[in-house]
Amino acid sequence: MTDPILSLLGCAQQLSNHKRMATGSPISDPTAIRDAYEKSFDALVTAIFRWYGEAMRQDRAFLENLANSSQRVKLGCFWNSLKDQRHDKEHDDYDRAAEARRWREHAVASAAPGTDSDVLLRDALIAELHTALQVLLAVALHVAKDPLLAQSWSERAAVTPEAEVHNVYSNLGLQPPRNFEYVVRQYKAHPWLRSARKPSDRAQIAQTVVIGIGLAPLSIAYDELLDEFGLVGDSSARSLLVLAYGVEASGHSNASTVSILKSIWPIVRATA
Amino acid sequence: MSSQRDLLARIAAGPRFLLLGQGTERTPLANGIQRREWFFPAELTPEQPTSAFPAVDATRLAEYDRSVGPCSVPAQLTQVAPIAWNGVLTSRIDSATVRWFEAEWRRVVPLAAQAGPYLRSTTELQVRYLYGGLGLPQDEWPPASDLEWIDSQRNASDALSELARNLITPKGVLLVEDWSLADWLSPLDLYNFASRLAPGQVHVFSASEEIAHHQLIAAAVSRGAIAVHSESLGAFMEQAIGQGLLPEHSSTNVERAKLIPTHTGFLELKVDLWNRILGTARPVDLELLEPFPFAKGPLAYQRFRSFLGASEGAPPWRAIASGLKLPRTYEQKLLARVELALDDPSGGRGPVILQGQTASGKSLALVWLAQALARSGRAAVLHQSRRRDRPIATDIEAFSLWVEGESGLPTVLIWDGMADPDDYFALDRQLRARGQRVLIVGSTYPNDTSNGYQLTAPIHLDADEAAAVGPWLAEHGIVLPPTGAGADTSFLALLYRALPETESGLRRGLALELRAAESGMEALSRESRQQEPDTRITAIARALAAAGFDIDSLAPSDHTIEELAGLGFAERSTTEQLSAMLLCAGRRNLNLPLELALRVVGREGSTVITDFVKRFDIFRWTEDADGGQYLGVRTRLEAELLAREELTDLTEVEVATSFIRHARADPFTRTGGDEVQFIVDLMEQIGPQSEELSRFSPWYGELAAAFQEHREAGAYTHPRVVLLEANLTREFVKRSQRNGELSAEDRIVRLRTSEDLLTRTLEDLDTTSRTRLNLYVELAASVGSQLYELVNSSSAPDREVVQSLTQRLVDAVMHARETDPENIYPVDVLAWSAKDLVTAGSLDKYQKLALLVDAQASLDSLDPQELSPKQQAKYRSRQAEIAQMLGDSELEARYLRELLAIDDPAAYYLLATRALGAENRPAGLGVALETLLQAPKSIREDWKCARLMLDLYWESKTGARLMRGERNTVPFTEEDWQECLDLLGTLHGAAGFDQYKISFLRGLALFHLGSISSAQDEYRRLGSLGLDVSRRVHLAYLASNPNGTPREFTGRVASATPDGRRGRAWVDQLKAEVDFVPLRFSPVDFRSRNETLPTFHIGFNYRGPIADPIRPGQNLGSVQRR
Repeated sequence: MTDPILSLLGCAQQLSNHKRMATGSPISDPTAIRDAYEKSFDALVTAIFRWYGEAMRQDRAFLENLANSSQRVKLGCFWNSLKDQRHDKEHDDYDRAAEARRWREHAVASAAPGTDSDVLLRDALIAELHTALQVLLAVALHVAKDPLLAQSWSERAAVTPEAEVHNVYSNLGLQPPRNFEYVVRQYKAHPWLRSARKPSDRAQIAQTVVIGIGLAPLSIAYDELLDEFGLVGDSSARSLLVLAYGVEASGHSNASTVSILKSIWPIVRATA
Repeated sequence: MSSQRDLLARIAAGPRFLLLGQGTERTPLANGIQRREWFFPAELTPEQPTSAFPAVDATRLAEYDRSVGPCSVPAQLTQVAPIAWNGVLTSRIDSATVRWFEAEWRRVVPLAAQAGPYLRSTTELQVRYLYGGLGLPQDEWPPASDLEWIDSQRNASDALSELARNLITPKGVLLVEDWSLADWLSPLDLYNFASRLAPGQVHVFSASEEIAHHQLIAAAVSRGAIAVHSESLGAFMEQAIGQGLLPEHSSTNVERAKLIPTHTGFLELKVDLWNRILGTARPVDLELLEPFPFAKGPLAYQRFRSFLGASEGAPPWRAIASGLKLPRTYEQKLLARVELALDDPSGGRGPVILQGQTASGKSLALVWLAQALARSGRAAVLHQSRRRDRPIATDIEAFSLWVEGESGLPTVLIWDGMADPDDYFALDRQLRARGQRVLIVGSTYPNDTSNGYQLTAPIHLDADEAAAVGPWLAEHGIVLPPTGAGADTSFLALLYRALPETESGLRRGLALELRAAESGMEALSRESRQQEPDTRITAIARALAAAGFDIDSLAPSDHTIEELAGLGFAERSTTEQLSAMLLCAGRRNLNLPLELALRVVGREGSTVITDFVKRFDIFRWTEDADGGQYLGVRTRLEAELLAREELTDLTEVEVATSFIRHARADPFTRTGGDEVQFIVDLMEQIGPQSEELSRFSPWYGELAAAFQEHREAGAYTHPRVVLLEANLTREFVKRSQRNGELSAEDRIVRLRTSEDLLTRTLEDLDTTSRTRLNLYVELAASVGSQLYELVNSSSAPDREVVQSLTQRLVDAVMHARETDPENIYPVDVLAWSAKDLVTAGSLDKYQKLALLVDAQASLDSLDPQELSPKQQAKYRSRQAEIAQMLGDSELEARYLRELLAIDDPAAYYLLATRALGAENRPAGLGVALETLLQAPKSIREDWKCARLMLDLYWESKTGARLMRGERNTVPFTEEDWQECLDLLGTLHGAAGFDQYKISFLRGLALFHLGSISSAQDEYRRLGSLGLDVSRRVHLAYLASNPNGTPREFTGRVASATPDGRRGRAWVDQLKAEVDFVPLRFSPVDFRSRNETLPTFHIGFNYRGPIADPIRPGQNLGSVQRR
């Protein structure tokens, strides 16, 4: 018998391949679902919601928009079930608690006595997710072969936080690092993001996050550096340190950093 | 520091090699074996570098290998092993090390230092055991004695030399890890190796203070030859990956999977087949179909500008997938033509060829086509850009079989070879003979041939295209005045030069000059409509100059243009030499193998080459998918424009002779490798078969001499190079016949030398069948030319000499035809030789007639339907010439009677063919056959008569030509089959190239006479000939009843492969097994032993009898018994 998780991940991989062909980017990595499946139904609901509901939101919305009515019904069905389970778990006064309960009862209704009901719930949710992914895959197959639709998907995918951060890395000539998802989370949580109105404002914030997270600690203790320049307790200290990071990012360290700072700090200071 | 940036850039760009030492610690065997970690035995470390080799018992070594074998990857290598290395060298000896590099996306090949060939492929990773390995064959084990130790040190040193000389390139890097002063690879070895490379190419990681301060290492560090890093390579990689300075290597298995799109999903191509097909063409997989992620602003502008500046040798897949290309109207026509051919169920399609001038956008169109087809999932697509060897039919067959078996898809080979249309037809014929559904799409220069298979890429934009230019450029912020319909497409190729490097530059108006260029181009387009290519290039140069472009500034020059044009190749500076070489190659659309370029310019060149390519944007350094390194130009058009200024014909000849003198053949490939291919390609463009014949023919003697010098210097001689030498020599001789540059004696001596060289090469060297064919054809031509010299000499030629030469000529032609019975070239040589010799007049009457009849019979033996359109034209013209000469009534009347009197086969052949020429074909057929049957038996010893007799016999008995049509039935009684068999037994003189027909018919007759096993033996013999004749897999005949109906058989599965591609069926009526293809009977059934098959026919192709399912309404060809 085929492992349901393997089938699901295989289907997600196919969807990702079609998205790569259409847009040049894969879909978000679904492997957290596999780990959650091993744990509990609640963990699985959370993992699927984060992946399908959040990380895949833009792709899902784009593809659903192109789906036919029967496909939309299937997708809507699954989305309702997932939301019900997610919110029922999170909120005591969830107004669709009855529907959520009915779904769970139905999932375990045909269980043999002694069967672990949590496992049955996990399998049921995975099966429904698989069905939804197959629908998305069918639409994606059509989109990937149509240059205009592929272009639309590409543009749509470019406005996700992941794509915005990815774009910054591309402009900086860097590879997305291993902690890419962490960088994206930091970006999404950045306090200035809410007030960003234009895409260019968002790009500026993404750039700030990428640069900030990517900086390696200075090779010299920062307080010693400030002391060297007589800036301990001075409000200009921050400016010197930012400059020092710039110098070190270009490959200098230790005495070489100090030497360069000595030559440029007076200019910065004088023109401030 | 900057050295770290340089190192990161080198690692990212490659080629990247790893040298893995024996670790920094030593552990006694007894202790180490108890541990579960990798170690190197202390017992194997000499106390001093000069000490005797510490011998260790082989059993202990095997025990060591077993103990470390299961060890998992040590922590310091977990970041290192997954990197896409171009090669790994190690002084270790255990077999665990090689295992750590294994990954799904690459095949790892452990080898001893001395085992060739050396590759740079990342997907076929060679792990070289410098001192031998315990997991290798016994003769490649580590040393066990002082003498073996000395040998292994030499092998290690040779391997490092090979790395320095031919693999690492000036761009590459060697990273050393786990090395210590106690390593078998001594500091002296490392110092010597690093000294041969440029600064920044060797980096030693995990370097202790002791290493850093070692006298030799410190000296190398001070010169920049070695850089030492105290951190481990793993830590360095970890940090670089963490900061996004290098791509993540360990998580790329999924992305590295080679996925071929199908109707509904993707097929994963396994690494073995990937590596195999990569030598021939690049499968168009998902990686090549991905567009750039969406972007706006400066990033989008940079991508667009990079696309415009992309080198023609490296297709810009991502840019085209992103829609950055201006759509051309003819591309849709091309796609429609290809789709139509794919829909053709008859499989009788030929190649589709795109022809067009330089800068008409053919290569981009073919990349677009490859992507459109692959993305649609209608076919699996292979793409080959022009710089590679010619596609190998067996590799394509393997790919096509896999694709068809897995998905049922056909294969399309897009071969952007700018080759002669005949080359595409030849490959098409070869693949059809193998039964493959492969559609070839090729590219070629404009030619006069107007055929259905060719499509033209126009050099002028049509109205739709011109209207699209403005919006296309505006998407990238570039505003131009409207482009007029009919604009020359060279404007698109040169647009890159007019665009500023940055988007901010564009915004500041730095593209103003573009307007000037555009107006110049518009003027050009008005002038250049319908121009010849040569005139067009001159007009482009003029338009550019008028627009203010200084084309000369694109290439380096230490001299003024006027001085440079007058300078010989040797008098130029190193960069000028590099420039001359690349322009000479680039104007002919060729990329120069890096190693050959470096050999020509010497050591000095290798130090400047990286900077040279960086500084001069016209030159490009490219790497192919299996690690091959090439230098080339951005576009052929720019190279052509510059070459016209900087290179004279003489300089180009000097460049070509330098290439010839320095090229090396790869002894491990039958085609001779990249350098031989480059020389062959260059000669195709300036040699006797090229359009530049008249320009370069005065120097063919020099070029031939360069080949001779190269050969006599003791360099490894490749048959393809010999062929070029002989061909150039012959053309030089031909030219000398006209201008008297060589005396008649000298000419004969040269031709004789060529003949000897060709004969020796055919006897001594292993050649591909294609090369063998070409060598025999050249041999025949060389002998034909000698004959021509003789009959044209002032004194009467010696009859015996002429006789002997004629025999040698015919023999060479016959051998060539044995190699490829359907090839026109040997037949053509015989025809033109006969024509020239007969016209010359000095042959005697018998010799003339015999030669003409040989030529006629040879032409008759070809089926023109199997030839390419160009060859068909040549065939008809030769037929007409020979027929006219044979029809010379005086010649015929005077000598035919005399020849008959001496039972000369030529006379009987001529009489029989004359009878055939009568209007009443059946009656003529009878007379012709009777003429031969009544003739003395001795004429059956003659190849012409034997062949004609067989053809006439079959046609007279069946009413149809032998081997034509498909699934024919033969209404023969047992007596007929026996008579046929008897006749075949008497045709002793049949030519070698006719043996396949005779064997086929003998097998067919034996089968019908009930001798099944004898028939199968006959077909096995036939199969062993390995011929790629066009009808090899066609079922020409079905087992038949005497009344002409097909025989029906019953049986069951004896064996079948799970993929349904092969099987054997037990046939009840024969009590024997025959081949069957389960897939032909059912997509899923008949894979299990003893499954009963539905009633079937038995068909025959050159592979033998095969069970053939009976299809309702099957249209059987029926031949009648007369």
